Amino acid sequence: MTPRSTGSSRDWTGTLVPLVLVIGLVADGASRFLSLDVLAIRAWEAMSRNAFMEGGVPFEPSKHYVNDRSSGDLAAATNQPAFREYRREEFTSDAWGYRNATTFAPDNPPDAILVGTSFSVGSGVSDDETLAAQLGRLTHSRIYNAAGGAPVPERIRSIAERLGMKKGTVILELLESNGVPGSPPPTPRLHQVCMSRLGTRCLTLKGWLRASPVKIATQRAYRKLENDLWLPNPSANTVSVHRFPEGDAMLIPPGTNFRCRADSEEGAVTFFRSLQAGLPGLDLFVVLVPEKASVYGDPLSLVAPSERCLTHMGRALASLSIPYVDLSDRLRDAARAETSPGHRLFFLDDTHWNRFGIGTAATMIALHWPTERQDAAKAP
Amino acid sequence: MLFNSFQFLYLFLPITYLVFWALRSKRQRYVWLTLTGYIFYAFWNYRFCALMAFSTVVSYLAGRALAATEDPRRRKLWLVLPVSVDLALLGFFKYAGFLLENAQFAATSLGLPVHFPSLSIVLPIGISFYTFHTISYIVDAYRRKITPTRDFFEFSCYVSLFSQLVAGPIVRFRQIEADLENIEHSNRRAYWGIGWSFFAVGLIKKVLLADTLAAIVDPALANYQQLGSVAIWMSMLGYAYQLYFDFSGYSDMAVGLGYLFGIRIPQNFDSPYKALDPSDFWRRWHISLSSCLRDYLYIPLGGNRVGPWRTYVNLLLTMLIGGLWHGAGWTFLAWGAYHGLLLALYRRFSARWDALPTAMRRALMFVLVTVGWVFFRAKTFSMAAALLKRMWIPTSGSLPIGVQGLTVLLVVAAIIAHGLRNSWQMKHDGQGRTPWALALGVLLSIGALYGAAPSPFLYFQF
Repeated sequence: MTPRSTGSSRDWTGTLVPLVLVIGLVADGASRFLSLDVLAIRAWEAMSRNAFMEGGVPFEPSKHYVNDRSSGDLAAATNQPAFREYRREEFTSDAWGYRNATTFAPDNPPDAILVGTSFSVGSGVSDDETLAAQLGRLTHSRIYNAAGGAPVPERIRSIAERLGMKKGTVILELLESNGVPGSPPPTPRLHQVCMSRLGTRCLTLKGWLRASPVKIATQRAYRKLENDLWLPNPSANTVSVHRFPEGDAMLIPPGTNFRCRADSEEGAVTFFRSLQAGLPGLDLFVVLVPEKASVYGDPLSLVAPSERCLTHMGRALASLSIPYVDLSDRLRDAARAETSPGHRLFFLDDTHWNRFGIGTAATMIALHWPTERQDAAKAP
Repeated sequence: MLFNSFQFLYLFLPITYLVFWALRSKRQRYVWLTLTGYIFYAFWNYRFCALMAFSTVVSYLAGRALAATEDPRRRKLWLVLPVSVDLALLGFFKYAGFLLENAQFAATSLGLPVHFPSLSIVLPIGISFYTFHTISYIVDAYRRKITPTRDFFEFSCYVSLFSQLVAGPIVRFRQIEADLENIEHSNRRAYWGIGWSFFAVGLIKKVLLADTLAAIVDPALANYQQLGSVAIWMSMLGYAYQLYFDFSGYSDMAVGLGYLFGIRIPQNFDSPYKALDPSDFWRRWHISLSSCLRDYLYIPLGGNRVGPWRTYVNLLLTMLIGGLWHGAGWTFLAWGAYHGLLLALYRRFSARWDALPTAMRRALMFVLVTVGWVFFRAKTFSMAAALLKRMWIPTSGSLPIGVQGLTVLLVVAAIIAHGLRNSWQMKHDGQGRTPWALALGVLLSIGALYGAAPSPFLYFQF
């Protein structure tokens, strides 16, 4: 059979269809010049677009972002808006791309540098509620928040040098599910060249290539259809939902049983020894942070982890006489004692702790922080 | 690489197109299409490019040898040898694991102390399609229906033409020989509009209909034990439309792409769900495969010239092999047997069937085809049996998740599949409202491609 076609007048299909494809491409490209701020569910997405965590610039430098309806990563992952817990979030980054609302000058260096994960960055909370901010207030000390990125001596040293910090403490926060930090992958050569040639414009270029607002908006529209009525929601089971006696749903990320590798204690000794050796003149103080599932294991009747990586790390730190604090028991006790709204330590809809959880942690850290900070914390 | 992926739409296609039309000579265009075919194929697994190249060289040489000799014995040798090589490759990659697994099962059942090795062979994508391309070429050359080409790149471009490489249609050399011969004189402008028109129809069918149906039907059938009769019927009807729009969408895109490069690829679907009887269905569904099976298997077996019972056997055997072509599994074999049986029964009782009202025949035929898809879709016989049982014995159970969307999609799909003209019957003159509707459909498809990850075509696995 021959398809029906006449070649007489202008063929609009041959014009319109390729035109639509070109328009799609141009719209995508053009939209990348727009800000992601309006589309971001929380600060993390907006701040990490024009950034390169592995390259030592975890967030877009010198940016102030405010979201009055910020919500959690787990509610987004499971694509169930009913679980969202809206809050205001303010996020400020300094010129180097770290989360610091106050300025640190080399002539007035900080007392400590906080290095760690998104828990230390303060994902979901505002600038004045982060661990660095709360701990600083409690101990009357100035703490530079250098969280985001791998805990490698070279990076920490370079931050300390930039801050003019010759002595002081490096507070290293380690998260249960991450286990013992491994060697981070080397910064790609292309990124190094790009940064040396273009500076921060390199980050803008990466952000342009990485994130498409058109794509994000389209995905969001499509996910609205995935509501189990029009289309099944394939993300519904990506997190588990547990309910408090009060009825509130707490979302728990997958993989609640954090298994440790058999060599994790040995690996931890090697890691901490090399980290300590790599930070001459600076004191190392380690904070071990349990995951949400560990903290709320009892109140939510979750299966307890068979073997705890934090115990391995604690033993390794003790063997090296490196001061540390394991927050597991304190946070678990607090979680058991009070589950009512307003006293919970973690966001219902997010992987991370909230300002109460951070506050509890900060108190505990202040009590265990060696040297004069302890006294400051105990002072009325 | 998928036709419905951004790397294809925005990188591969524009580059391939622009370079193709910038080249002037026949040879340059053959080489370019060959090269791009291999690049296209390498996106799945570059290691299997060598397999396709080997098959191409063997078949090309066989064609040259057939053209060079009139000696019947030698001609037969040059027929049997390359076809055996092609079938051996297909047999090894597609059926060896299945055969060994069943041989082991049989040996164990009989208590024989035999241990066959367990093979986990990666199936080279599209091998069933390009093997049929090369076999049809050799057989047609043997039968003197074509003159084997002297130009190696003309032949390699025919085998590796990206538009039809991995999921057909199974284009025979003679069907595009004229276009390949005159490829340097192709008129780019003449086919531009119709090419995009076919491509747009195919993209819309695939992305908006097939993929959206799949998003509901796949999870539903994954939990078929929990579904009631209504849900099973809805899911199987959804699957019937999904399969049709997926495969015919791919074929339309292949035809459209062929036009963009000056090659007219033949029709592969002709509104199969409008079929009135089993014979009619196979004249409309996957036409390129059914015609191959007819010409290279059914007719050589004797076709319908050998008495009624042998005809029935021939029909059954042809459809069994057709079923097996789709995959190495007992359910595919059962699907082939089911259609062979339908064809034989129709041949026996055609007078009575044809006396039924047209609408009834059409509806019954669609139901019969949908029932057949149960074997095609089921991974095991127990799944097929459970689905069939719930289809015919009213059972309570849950509805598919997304039932509201599925209901709307079934209505839309039914209107298009049963009521509207197909892509070969519609006008492709770029006039009236059609271009605007196609442009809107493409826009929505692009949106859907952004919103959900592109899914592979169902027929890639065959």
